[in-house]
Amino acid sequence: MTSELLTYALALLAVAGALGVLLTRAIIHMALFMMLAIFSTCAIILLQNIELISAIVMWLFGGACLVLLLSASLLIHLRQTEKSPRKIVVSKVLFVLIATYIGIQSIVLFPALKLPPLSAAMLQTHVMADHFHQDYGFLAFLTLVTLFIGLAASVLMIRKE
Amino acid sequence: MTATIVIYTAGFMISLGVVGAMIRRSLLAIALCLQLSFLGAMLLFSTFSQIRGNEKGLSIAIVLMLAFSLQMLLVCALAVFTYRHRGTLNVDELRELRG
Repeated sequence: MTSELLTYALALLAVAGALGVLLTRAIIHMALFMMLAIFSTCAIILLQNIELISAIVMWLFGGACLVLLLSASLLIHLRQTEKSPRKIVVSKVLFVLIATYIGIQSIVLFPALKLPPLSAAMLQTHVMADHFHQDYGFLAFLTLVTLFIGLAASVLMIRKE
Repeated sequence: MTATIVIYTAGFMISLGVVGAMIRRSLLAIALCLQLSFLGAMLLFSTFSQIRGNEKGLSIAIVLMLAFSLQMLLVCALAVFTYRHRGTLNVDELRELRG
């Protein structure tokens, strides 16, 4: 029961963070709301007893990506350049209203889906690592090589001038 | 724990991210909105992997995170490069590649 209440509260916080990302103008405020959404999502994943994924999300999304984005926004001294025409504001409000309506209708109409307990294999990190290595090892290697090339290319691109 | 609310939260985050990527005009804001979508996708992967009792979803989630970090790196480098050369990050003004 406590876990369910905690999940509802965290889901509410995550949605609030997501709405904050969409509705604020300044990049620094967007990043702070994003941090709220990331922490709430990590806590929800942690409540599902998947600690590894929660930690990786925290490191990569909350740490690396947000710090990279904030340092990029500091490098370019970004001013508040976006203006919001009335059409965009109206479309945002309409979207939020429609999404809230659909969400409430779906929660009322569909029965609650219970999460089963984790299987023994999922609780062991080395089993997941084995699957990762066997099935997606090459893909991850390819991604890491591309990441390295992208890193080198971006450093070269910025230093070129 | 109910999975329904988690699934709806993830769907809401994905749709908000997509709408943000379509509405916003700053390159960094678009990157943040895409990050929101990826976060929702991560939540969906972990939840459905637990529902199906299959740990492959978690492996896909890890690969997804690696791919996203690559995308974020490139977007940030592109933003710095674009700002230094054009003085703006407004994607409406970057139209050299349009036919």
